Order: sequence, then C-alpha cells, then structure tokens
Amino acid sequence: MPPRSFFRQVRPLLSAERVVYALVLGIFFFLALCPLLGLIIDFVHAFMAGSLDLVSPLFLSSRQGWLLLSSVGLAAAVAGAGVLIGILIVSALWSISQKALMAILLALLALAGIPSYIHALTWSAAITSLGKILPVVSPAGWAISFWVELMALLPLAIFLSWVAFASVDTLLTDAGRVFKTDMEVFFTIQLPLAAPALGAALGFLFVICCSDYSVPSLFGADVYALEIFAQYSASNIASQALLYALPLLVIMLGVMISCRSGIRTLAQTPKWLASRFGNPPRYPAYFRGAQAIAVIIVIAQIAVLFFGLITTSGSGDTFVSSALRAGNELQFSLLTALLVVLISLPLALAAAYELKKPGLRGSFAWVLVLVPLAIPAPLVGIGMVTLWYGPLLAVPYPGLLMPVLVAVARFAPIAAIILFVQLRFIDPILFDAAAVFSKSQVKTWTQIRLPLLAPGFLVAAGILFTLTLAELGATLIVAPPGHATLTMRIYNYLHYGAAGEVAGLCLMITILTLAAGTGAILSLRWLYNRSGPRLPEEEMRS
Amino acid sequence: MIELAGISKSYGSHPALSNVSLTIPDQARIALLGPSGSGKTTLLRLIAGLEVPDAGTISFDGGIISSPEYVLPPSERSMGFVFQSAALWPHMTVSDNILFGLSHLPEKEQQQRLGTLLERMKITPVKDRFPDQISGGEARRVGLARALAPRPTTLLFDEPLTNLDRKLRDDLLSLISETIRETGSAMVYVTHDEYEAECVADTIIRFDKGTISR
Repeated sequence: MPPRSFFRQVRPLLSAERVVYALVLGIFFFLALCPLLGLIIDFVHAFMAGSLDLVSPLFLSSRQGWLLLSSVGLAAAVAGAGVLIGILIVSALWSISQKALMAILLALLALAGIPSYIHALTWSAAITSLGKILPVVSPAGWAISFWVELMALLPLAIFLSWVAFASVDTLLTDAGRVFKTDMEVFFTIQLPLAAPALGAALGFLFVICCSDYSVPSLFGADVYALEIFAQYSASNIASQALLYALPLLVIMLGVMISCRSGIRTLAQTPKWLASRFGNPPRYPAYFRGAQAIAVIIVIAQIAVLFFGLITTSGSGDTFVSSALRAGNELQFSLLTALLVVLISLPLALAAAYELKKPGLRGSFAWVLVLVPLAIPAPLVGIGMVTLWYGPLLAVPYPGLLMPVLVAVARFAPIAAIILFVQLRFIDPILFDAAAVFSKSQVKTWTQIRLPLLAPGFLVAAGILFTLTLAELGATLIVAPPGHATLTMRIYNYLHYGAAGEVAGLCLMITILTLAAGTGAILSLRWLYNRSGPRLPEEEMRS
Repeated sequence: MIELAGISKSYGSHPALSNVSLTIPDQARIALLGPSGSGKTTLLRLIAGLEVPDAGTISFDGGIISSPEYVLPPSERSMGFVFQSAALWPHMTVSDNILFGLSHLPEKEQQQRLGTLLERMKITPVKDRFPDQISGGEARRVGLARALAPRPTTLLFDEPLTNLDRKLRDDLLSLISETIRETGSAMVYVTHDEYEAECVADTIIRFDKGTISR
C-alpha cells in the first residue's frame, strides 16, 4: 500500500480524542501491570541464564502445601462468614427508614477503610482481657486470625452485600410478595437474583484476605502470602518468588475472573438509592434471631474498635505527642495517598470505558484489569522493585514515588471497576445528546461527562485514599530508606508492643479514614441535593 | 368487597394520596384514570399490601387488611397483580413464573392450571423459555397468566399495556376483558389512557393530585 493512501486510511483513527484515550489507557495498563512485567522479565532473564530452580517451587513441600491450604481455607471462611453476616444485616436494614439506611451505609463505607492491623490491635487487647476470665480463649492462632480478619472485612462485606441486593429490582420482589411469604420470596427470588453479585463480593473478600499477611502474622499464624515475602527476603530472587507465588496467583486469578459476570450485574438496575419496600418484609422468629446475632457482631466490631483505641491511646496529651512524633510519616502517607488518587482517577476512567466495550476487546480488558487484583501484595512490591531496578528501564529509580506506584498498581483497577459501574448507570443517550448539542469537546467533558461521572469519581477517590493509607504488604518492600508511611510505623511498633504509641497512631489513621469517607459522603450529598428532591419511582412512572 | 376509608400516603414531603375513600364491590371492573404522578399506582400498591398507609383503613369483606398500625401480608390477600413492566423473574422459565403462586396445590392440579393458562394466553410454544428469550407482548401475557393462576378474588393492573404497539395492545385488551368476565374477579385497572379504561372497565374513576376528582 502506498504511504499516502495508508495515512489517508489511518488519519481518522488519529483524532486528538482517540490518541489521548489510547495514551491514557496505555499508561493505565502499564502501571497496573508493572509488577507482573517486572516478575516476567526477571523470570525470562533467570531462565535464560539457567539460574532458575524450576522444580522446587512446583513441588510444594508438605509445609508449603499446608500453608497454601490453610491460607485458602482462612480466606474462604472469612469471605463466607462476611457475606453471610452481610446478607443477614442487609435483610434487617430493609425495615429501617431510608435516611437511617443511608447513614448506616455511609458509616460502613468509612469503617471499611480502617486497616486490618488496627482491628488486630484492638481485638488482641480485648481477647487478652477475655482470656483472663475464660482461659480457653487463645490470643494467638488461626481462630483469632479468622475473627480479626472477619472483623476487619465486615463493613466491606455488609456494604457489598447491600450493593448486591440493591441491584435486584424491588418490583421483582414485590411481584413475588403477592403470592408467597417474605421468607419464601427471600429464598426463591431475592437470593438467587443477588447471587452473582454476592459471588463477586465473596470473591473480592477472598482475594483481599488471601493477599493479607499482616493479621495472621501478628497472631502467629503463617500464611502463604507471608511465605512469598519470606522466600524473597531469603533469596532476593524475584523470579523464584513468582514461582512460589504461582499456586496462590492461579487460585486468586481464577476467583477474580469468575467474579466478572457478578460485577457486571451490579449495575443492572440504576435504582440503588431510590429502591425501597413500601411495606417492610416480615420474617419468622428463627431468621429474626439470626439477624439479631449478626447485629450484635457488628455492634461488637464497632465497640471494640473505638473503645480499644480510645482507652489504649491514653490521655489527649499522649495522643498529641505520638501524632507529633509521627509527623514525617503522616506527611509522607497523606502525600502518597493524594498522588495515588490524582494519578489513578483519569487513568481508571479510560480503563472503565474499555471495560464497557463489547465482545473480545471488552473481555480482554476485563482480564487485564482483574489480573493485578489477583497478585498478592508482597509480590506487587517485589515485581515493582525488580522492574525499576532492572536494566530495561533506563530511568532513575523513582525511590520516593515507589509507594505511590505500588498503590496505583494495586488500587487503580478497583477505581476502574467503580467507574465502570458508574458509567453503566448513566443513560448513553445523555452522551449522545451532548455530542449533538455541544460543538466543543472540552465543554462536553466539563459540563456533561464529568458532572455525570462525579459520584463515581468521589467514591473511587475516597476508597483509593483509604486503601493507600492502609497499604502495607507492598509498601514495606519498596519504601525508600529513611522514609516510612504511617502504616509501616504502626506495623513496626506492633512488634515491639508499644501499645499506647500504636493506639494513638491507629486512632489517627482511623480519624483520617473517617475524614476521607465523610468528605466523599458530604460531597455526594451536595451533588445529589443540587438535583432537587426525587419523587418515588412508581409515581414518576404512573 | 374492598373498602378504602380516608386513605392518605406521603413520600417524604411529597403527598401521593390525600384522604381517598373508595368502594370496590365484588366482581366490579374499575379503571383509575389520571395523569402521571396523580397517585394511581400508590393506591394500587396500598390495596395489594405493598405500601403502608399514613392514615385511613382498607377493609376486605368488613375486616381491616391495612391501617397505619397493621398490614395483612400481600400473600394473604388473594389478589393478583399485573405490573407495568411484566416483572417476570429472569432466573425462572415462563412455566416456573406461572407456577410460582401454585406451589400449595397438588402437582396434578398445578400442571392442569398451567396448561389451561398457557393455551388461553397463547404462550404454549414459549413455556420453557426464559423471560429474556420472549417478546414484549409474550412477556405481558405471561405476567397476566401468572396473576390469574392462583384464581385471585381481585386483580390489580398497573398500566399493563404501556409501550406496546396498537395492534398488540388491542389484542391484550380483549384478552384481559374476556378473562376478567370469565373469572368473575373484581378488577382495578390503572391507566392514563381513556381508551383503555373504556375498553376494560364498567366504572371509570378519575384521579388527580392524589384525590378522586370525579
């Protein structure tokens, strides 16, 4: 083909918008897949050099096999229990007023961001006290690890369960209530229709739990994620760590990919906030009993968290002094979280558009977005260090930026999924109308697209900020010498048993998390209030 | 006979119904006609037990079935409800949707009623399909069959023919009229279309701003 005709054909594909989109999308996938890229490059390099031990990692020792089995079992148990309690709580929430429901959901979102090691600290103190009365209660081991992981993930589990049920059209439930009791309708209509989204919630919780080693390690229970970290620390060979991580990676990837259809059903009805039952469902005594137990567990979770932190951190002076001593770490953590939000959101938006694409292209994008979520946290750090230290990237090692880059790699895909759900809520005809009536792309973006996407941006920003504040597994590996995040400082203190200091810092992280959550929530409220009061959906329709 | 006495209902600060009183005699065929947002659907949902009134009572044959303090569960009211969007359960086949309200009956009777309804509604060929595999018109027929299956004493229709083309709408109007006549159930039909109201009902009640206007 002559060059001129080739360029004539290619030219329409090179519009400014398309080029920017391709560029931003490319950066998103590069940053999200950086750790994997680093590991693969190191693997190939080591393989070519013949320095790779291919056999030992593939034939797990009985200890490693047990670790893998225990880790998967722990994660499955935590995810299963979390979703079960979530289902019970959500079914109880149908009986309360819309305003109270919103307040509880927003509180759950804020609580979900509190790092798991803070729960470890408060529950450890609570269980030690309980152990004095009941000697059978052990302050270490698998049982306490399970309980603390469950407590840490409970707000998220309840929130995701609510999202799963809110995705089921209330009209379908009403249609069933005309024929059968509320309990029968729950089991035959609501639960099966929410099942795919509940499955996705289960998968998310499983992956988060599988990837976390901070809680089990604090309670003396070894998990596979810690083994990966230990292998790397001992050998300093990234490709070997990748090989050891492979079994866990395959399991987590399988879980994430099977979650895909469930995630897509999350946005099947755009009436999340408007849906309500005019006549709240009534359940039999046994189910109400189960709901009451679930409510007690949630109250215990909140009470132990706040009571534990406030009592252990001591007086206000102690809190202020421990906060002042951690000034540098606080500054570094806030700056890191802010940069992660600013870098991730625009990149994630491009990825969200790609996730919406039909056919093979969309499916491929889904796999590329889900893969980074399946990589255990320590492996993300190892891959990142390997890539940026490696000979391929002829750029200076971005030391201070590394904690930002690992958080982008770990959490930008989550922002992409949130923005994908937000995009699905928006009627595409609004974008078509904008294209017809607006002659300027900038105007279309600033006046139509961004305001419509604002709720998704706010939620994603809040979640990214809190996740970054809580990140430990990967940051611990990449943090430059002389610089630590608040989370790292707390984790280090936890091993020394400086309870007052740790509690003060944990209280600070909790306050920061709640502040980030409240900020996002108030902005959302402001956005929704601007659009005026909404009439009940049925009356709008009739 | 269903009697509504002084029913009021608000959603937040938005009043949907204000002091509505209405009597629906046995076998009556009533159409509630009114513009969007006039409170018709809310009234229908209150009769079905899907909403709790803020004030007033709803009685069935003299016994109170709805008041601000007490609401008889919808499943115990012997009422059929045909929703605007058909509201078929996507995880069940057409047959399973229709059989849903018949599980208390012996298997043989269930199958007998299913066969009769499938034939009556002309949906036998699609009985094993899922809702996303049938047309809009077929979905409305399935919704009607599902409501009729338990042989309710009262049938409630919430704009069941919205968004259908003229021919399909006329076919379904005749089907609804004939079926109601045959079953002898009382009927409350909500619509904003005068033609539909005249086709199916003996009595037309006009609704506006949450009250009966005529």
